[in-house]
Amino acid sequence: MKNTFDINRFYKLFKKEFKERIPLILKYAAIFSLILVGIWLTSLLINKNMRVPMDVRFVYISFSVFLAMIMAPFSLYKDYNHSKKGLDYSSLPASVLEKYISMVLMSLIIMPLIIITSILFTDSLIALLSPQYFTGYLLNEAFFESISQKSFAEIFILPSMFLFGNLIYRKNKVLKTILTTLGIYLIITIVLSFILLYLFKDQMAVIADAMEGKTKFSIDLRNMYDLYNSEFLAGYPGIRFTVGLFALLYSIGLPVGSLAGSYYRMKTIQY
Amino acid sequence: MVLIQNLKFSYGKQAIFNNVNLQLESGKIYGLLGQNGVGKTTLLKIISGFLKVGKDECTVKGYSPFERSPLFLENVIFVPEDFIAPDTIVNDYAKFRGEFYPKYDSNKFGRLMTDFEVNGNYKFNKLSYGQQKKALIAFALSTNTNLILLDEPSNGLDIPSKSQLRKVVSEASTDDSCIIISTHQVRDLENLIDPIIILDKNGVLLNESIERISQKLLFSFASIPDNSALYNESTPGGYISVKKNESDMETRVNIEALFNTTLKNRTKISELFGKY
Repeated sequence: MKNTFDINRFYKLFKKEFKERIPLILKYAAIFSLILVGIWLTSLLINKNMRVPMDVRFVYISFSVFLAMIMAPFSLYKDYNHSKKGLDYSSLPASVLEKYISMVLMSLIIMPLIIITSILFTDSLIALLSPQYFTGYLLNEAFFESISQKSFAEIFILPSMFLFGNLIYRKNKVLKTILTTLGIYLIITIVLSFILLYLFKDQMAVIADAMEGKTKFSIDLRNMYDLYNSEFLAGYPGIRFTVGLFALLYSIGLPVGSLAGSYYRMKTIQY
Repeated sequence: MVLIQNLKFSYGKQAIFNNVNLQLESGKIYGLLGQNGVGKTTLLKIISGFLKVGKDECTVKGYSPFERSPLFLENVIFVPEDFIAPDTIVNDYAKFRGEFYPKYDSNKFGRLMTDFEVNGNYKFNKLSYGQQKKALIAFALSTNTNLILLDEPSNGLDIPSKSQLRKVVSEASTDDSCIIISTHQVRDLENLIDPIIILDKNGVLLNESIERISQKLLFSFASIPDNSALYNESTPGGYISVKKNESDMETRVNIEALFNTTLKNRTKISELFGKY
């Protein structure tokens, strides 16, 4: 067990990782916060009547954190599979599991957390200094409610795929990962569409008629659970099962597969 | 310490090793020689666990290197030829990594850095290539691991640093440690490396101690080439000749001449020393 995971060694590793990578994380946090300051200054200096309401700032913070999460592996661990630069980290006397957990924590938790804290702090400071421009505080009850409404699993789907892409590809990582992700989405959507529109053709026609005028039917992977729970599918267990299966594949299969694939890749990578 | 049995390795279709056998023992500083592309760096990477081979084809103190278990890694340090430095202050690099090596000696690191005249308060990327390399060698030797693998350590070092390197590597050698140095610059490491391993595309051509080599081969210098010699090398002022030692006399081994002799007389060397 000590060879696979040792808490003291993990602590040493995480401490090292944190100390070595914190300057870069803080740099990103500063950039995202400065953009918010830029928005404030723009409204202050150029258009004095311009207000930046809470919902606009919420979109900004959501986008920033999402961007930070998907970019974190590429910026913090881009060298891991580099034939020369990767030797340093790979030869460090810690187990692959410890390195993997440390990587996941730094990329998917620590970096987004520091960035979100930095933006929220900046936003609160600006809202305090000039409430006429930054109306309301982003850091309020509604903010936490809006977060809790989102599925945490869903937040990690894309970042986990990007973590995997960072470990698989050695060159043009970002582009190749984006293209692969799009490809996977496309394949899943096409397969699901084929099953629903050809294998369940007649039943789908009935459902479409029933839904007409009431709701819009679209095969969107992000809304699979809504579709699964839809009253229109109540009498069609075959379709419901298929939709449920794809919902699971998307929300659990992809992130778990990506995280497992990342671990396997770390374990078997050659330099 | 290191046991290599019937090692096979290839990059795609390009075979590098085919049934190579080697046994490397503690208390020695091995010199790993070979032409470009014969697989010196590959062999070091296999021993360090960076490349995958069959489970029993390479073992280090009983560990299978590619499993990269922490207990194996804390006993091995590899200094690559091309070191791409991280964006870190040298002293921090050593401090954070040193914690992972049970026998790491921070005082030794400081002393070696002073000997090498490198300021550890700078980031790696503010140092010259040679200074970066010296800092990395200083760290590697301070870990006091049982197995130290150095790939072309004298490349990029200035003349005083090369003699310093010989001194510190020699001091780092203990009865428990095994040091393997891959090099083309044999003159830089003469009087340090013993035994000598010479690799070629067919595997190990030679793996012998300096003492045994000098018992079997005679190195002489004369103004004219010796026609009975296995190899004659023209040098300023005469010729270095290498021939079978049929007397009890032992001469100083010229490693460069030995290397060329071995490459040009594979069969005869094999007959003389046996197969590996």
